[in-house]
Amino acid sequence: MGETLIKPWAVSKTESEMSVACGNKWITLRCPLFITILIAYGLAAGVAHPQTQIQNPLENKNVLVLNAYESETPSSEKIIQGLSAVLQSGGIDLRQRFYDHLGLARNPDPEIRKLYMQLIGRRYSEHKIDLIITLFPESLNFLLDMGQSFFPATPVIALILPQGFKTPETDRRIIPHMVLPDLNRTLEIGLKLVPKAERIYVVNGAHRLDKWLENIARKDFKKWEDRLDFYYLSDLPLEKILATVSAAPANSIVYLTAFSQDVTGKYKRTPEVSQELANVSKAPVFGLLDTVIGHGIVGGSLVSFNYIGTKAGELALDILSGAQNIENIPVELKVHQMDIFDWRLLKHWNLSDSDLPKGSVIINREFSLWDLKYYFIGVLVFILAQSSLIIALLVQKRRRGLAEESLRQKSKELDQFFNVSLDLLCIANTDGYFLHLNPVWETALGYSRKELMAQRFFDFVHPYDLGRTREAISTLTSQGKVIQFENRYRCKDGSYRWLEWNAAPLGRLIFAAARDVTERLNAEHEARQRREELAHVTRIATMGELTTSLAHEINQPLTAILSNAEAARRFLSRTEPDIGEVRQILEDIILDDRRAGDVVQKVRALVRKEKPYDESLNLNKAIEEVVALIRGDSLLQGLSISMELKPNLKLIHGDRIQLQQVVLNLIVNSAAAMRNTPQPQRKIIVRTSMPDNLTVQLSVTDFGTGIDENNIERIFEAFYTTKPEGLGMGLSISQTIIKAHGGNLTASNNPEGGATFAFTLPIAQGEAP
Amino acid sequence: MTEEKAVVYVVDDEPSVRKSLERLLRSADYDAKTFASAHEFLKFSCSDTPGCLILDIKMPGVSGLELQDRLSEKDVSLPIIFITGHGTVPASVKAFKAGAMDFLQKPFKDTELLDAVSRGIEKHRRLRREQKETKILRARLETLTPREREVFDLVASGMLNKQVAFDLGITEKTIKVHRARVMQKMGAQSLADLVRFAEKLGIGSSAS
Repeated sequence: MGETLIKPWAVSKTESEMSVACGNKWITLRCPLFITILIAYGLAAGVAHPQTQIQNPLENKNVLVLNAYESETPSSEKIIQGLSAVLQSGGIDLRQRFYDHLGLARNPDPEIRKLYMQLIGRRYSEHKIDLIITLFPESLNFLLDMGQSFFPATPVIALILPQGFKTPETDRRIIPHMVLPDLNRTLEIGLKLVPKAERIYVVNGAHRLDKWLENIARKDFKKWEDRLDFYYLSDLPLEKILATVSAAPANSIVYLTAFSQDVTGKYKRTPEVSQELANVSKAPVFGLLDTVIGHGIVGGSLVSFNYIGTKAGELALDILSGAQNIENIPVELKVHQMDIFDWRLLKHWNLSDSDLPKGSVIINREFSLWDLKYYFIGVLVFILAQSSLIIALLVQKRRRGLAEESLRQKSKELDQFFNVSLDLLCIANTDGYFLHLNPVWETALGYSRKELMAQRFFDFVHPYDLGRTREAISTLTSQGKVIQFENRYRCKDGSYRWLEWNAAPLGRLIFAAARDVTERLNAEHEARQRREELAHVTRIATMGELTTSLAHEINQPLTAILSNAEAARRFLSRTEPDIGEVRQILEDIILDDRRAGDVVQKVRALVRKEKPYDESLNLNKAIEEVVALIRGDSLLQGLSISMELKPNLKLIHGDRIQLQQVVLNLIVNSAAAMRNTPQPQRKIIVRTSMPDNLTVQLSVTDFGTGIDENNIERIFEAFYTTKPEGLGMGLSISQTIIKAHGGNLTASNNPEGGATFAFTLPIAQGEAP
Repeated sequence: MTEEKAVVYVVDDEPSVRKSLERLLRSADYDAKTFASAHEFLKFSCSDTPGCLILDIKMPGVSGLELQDRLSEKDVSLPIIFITGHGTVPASVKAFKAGAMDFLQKPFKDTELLDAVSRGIEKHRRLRREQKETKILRARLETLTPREREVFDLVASGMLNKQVAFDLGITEKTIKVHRARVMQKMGAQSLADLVRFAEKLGIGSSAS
C-alpha cells in the first residue's frame, strides 16, 4: 500500500551523485553495467568470499523506543521502519529492541501515565536498557516527568521535537532532534516544475501542530506574495477544502503541509487527505512530509521520517558501540529534508523530471525500454560474457584434447627413441635414484634395470669419481643448467666403464644421457702415453745429435781454461814472471768456468724428462737459450742463425722445455732442408712477433728445398718423414705440444724459396691489454 | 847459423780460446797471430817465415776444412794443426787426407799442442828448405842444352851410356861428354846425386 519500495534501478538519472540511501530497502546500483560484468566474471572464476563470523560487540545492548502515539501513526511507523532496519543491520536484533507505543495524546490523565510508567518499570526490571529513543515531545516529557528512576544513567535520543522546544531540567543525557521544516524549498521546486503557476493553495489542518506549520509557511512565503497568490485553507472544513482545490485553475500549485484535524474537529490523517486532494485537484499537489509520498502528491523537499529513523539508528549504534564517547556525542541530531518525487504523478501532470534538483529520489518509476537500456545492455553483456566464456572453455577443452593427443603421440615417439637409443638414457631424482632407464643400460653394465633402480646410483660410481659426481649433481640442482662430466660405473662383472654424461635438471628430476667412452678413453690414454714416451725418445735423440754440439759448447771454456792455466804456469816459471799477465789469465779462467757451468745447467734442463710444467715465460728468452745451445752444432755447420726477436714480447703460459724442444726441432729441420743449399744462402731466421694483442707468433724461416706441395698436408702426421734417418716424429710431436698450449703450428713455402714454420700461442692471462 | 823466428797462426771463432792459445804460445816464446775467422786469415798475407796454423775445424762461415782446401789451392804450405771440440771420424779423415799435420781434441794439454806446433814448424822449415833446393836445381836444369836434357833424362832413368847412345843414335863417346857436362851443370858429384836431383825435379822416373 503506502509502503515506498524502491527497486534497484528506481533511482533518478543523477543517481551517481547520490550518496545517501533512504532506508535499508533502497539499494543503489551506481553502475549496473560494471557490476553485471563483475558478476559474470565472478561466477566464471568461481570466486567465493568466505563468511567470517565477527563477534558482535552489541550482543548485550538493549534499546527502548518510546513512541508518544500509536504504532500505526504514519510518522511513527516510518521512523520505526528506518530505525529498526539500521539497528538490525548494526547488530541490535529484534530481542534487543523494545517498543512502547504510549498513545499519550489519548491518555492525558497523569494518574494513568503514572501507572503506565510503573508498568514500564516492572516490564524492564529484568533487562538493562542501554539507550532510550523517544518519538515526539510528549514521550520525552513523559519519561522525564514520570521515569526519573527508570535507568537514570541511560542516554536518550529525543526525536521530532518542535523548533524551539525547551528540554526540562534533568541529569539525563539527552540528544534532541529538532524538526526545522523548510517549506520554501518545496515551493521553489514546484515553481520550477510548474513555471506558469500563479496560485498557491496551502492546505493544512487546524490542529495545533498543523497551525504551527501553517505559521511557518505564512512567514516563509511572504517573499513570494507579490508574484503569487496564496490561499490558506485551514479555516475551511475538509469538504470545502476539497471543493476549493477541485475548482483551482490549472496554473496552480497545491501545497499540503500536515493534517490531523479540520476546523470542525474531524480527524483525518495527512496521507488520507493527500489522496483525497489528489483525486479532485486540477493542479499538482506538493507536500512537506514523506508520509504523503505515494498518496497522490508529486513530491517535494520532504521531512522524511524514515530518514530520521535511519539517522537516529546510526547515532544509536555509534553510542552503543562506544565509537562515540558520551562526551563526543553531538549535542543535537540534525536531519535534513529529502527531495522525493513520484514518477507516476510527474508523468500525470506532464512535468519534466529534468527540472528536479540533483540528488532527488524518484519512486514508482515505470520504465520504458529506452530507460531500461543500461539494464538490458548489462544483461546482454552478461549473456555475451557468459557465452564467450562458455565458448572459450569449449575451445580450451578441445585444444586440451588435441594437445593431449599430440602429447600422447609425442611421448610415444619419445618412448620409441628412449628404447632404441644407443646412448644410456635415464631420469633420476636428486635423492640419487634412477627412476627410468632405457634398455641399453642392461647390455652396457650387465645389471637388470631393476637392480640399477634398487640402489642409489652413487653406489655404482667408482670411488675415485664419487667426489666429482656429487659435485656435478649439486651443481646441476643449484645452478639448474646443462652440464657435462665423466665418471666410471661399476659393471656387474666388477670392471668399470667410463661414461661421458650430459645432464639437465628439471625440478627435482635429472634428465641425463650417457655414452660409454671407455674404448675411446683407453685409446686416448694409450696414445697420450705413447706420445709422451716418443717425445722423450725424440728429446733424447735430439740430445744425441746435440751432445757433440754441447761437448763443443763445454769444451770451449774448458780449452780456454786449460790453456790459460798452463800459460800461467809457464809465465810463472820464468825468472821474471809477469804477475799482471797471470792475474789477467786467472780472471779469464774464472769467467770461462762460469760459462761452462751455465752450459751444464742448460743441458740438465733439456735432458730431464719432466711432466709439463706451467709457467709464465718469455718466448724470446727461451729461443735465445736454444740458439745458444745449438750454435756450433755439426748440423748447423756453415749455417748462420739470425734472430729477429720483437722487443717487449708479451709473456706466454706453458712448458718452457717443451716449447724449446719445438723451436729446436724446427731449427734442426730447417738446417736439414738446407744440406744442399749453397753456402751463402744457408741461413735460418728465427722471428718473433705479435700478430695481434692476444697472440705471440714464432716463425723459423729457411732457404732450403721447401716442402713438397703434394705432401704439405701430411708433414704433421706421425711417422711421415723425408729424411732417410728420420723417425717422422718431430713435427707431429711439435704440433701436439703447440696444440696443448692452445696454439697452432703451420708450414708454408716461401715465395723466394725455402719454407717457414710458424706457431702462434695465446698470451698469458694477466698479460691481456 | 841462427834459425829464423817461427810464427804460429791461430784461427778460432771463440775469443776466449783464441786468447788463451795466444798466451800459451807466447809463454813458449812463439810469435802468435790470432784470427776470428777463416775469412780474416785469408785476407792476411803471411810473412815468408817458418810457422804453422792452428785451426778450429768448426766455425761459422768458412769452416776449418774449407780453409785447408783454399790454402792448398793457393799453394800455401803451412802445416795445419786442427783443433776440435769433438773428433768426428769423417772430419778428421778428411783433414788428414788433405795433409793435416795434427788433430787435437779440445781440451788439450799444453805439451800436446806445443809439441805439435814445434813439429809443424820443423816440418815447415824442412819444406821451405826443400823448396829452396828444388828451386836451385830447376834453375840449373834450365841451363842444359836440349841434347844434354835428353841425356840427363835417360841417365836419370837408370840407362847405361851404351843404351843411351843406341837410343839417341849417337856414339857412346859423345854420350860420355854430354854426361860430364850435365853432371857439371847440375852440380852433381856422382851419378847417385844426379839421380836424386832428377827425382826431386820429377824427371826420369816416369820415363821408360
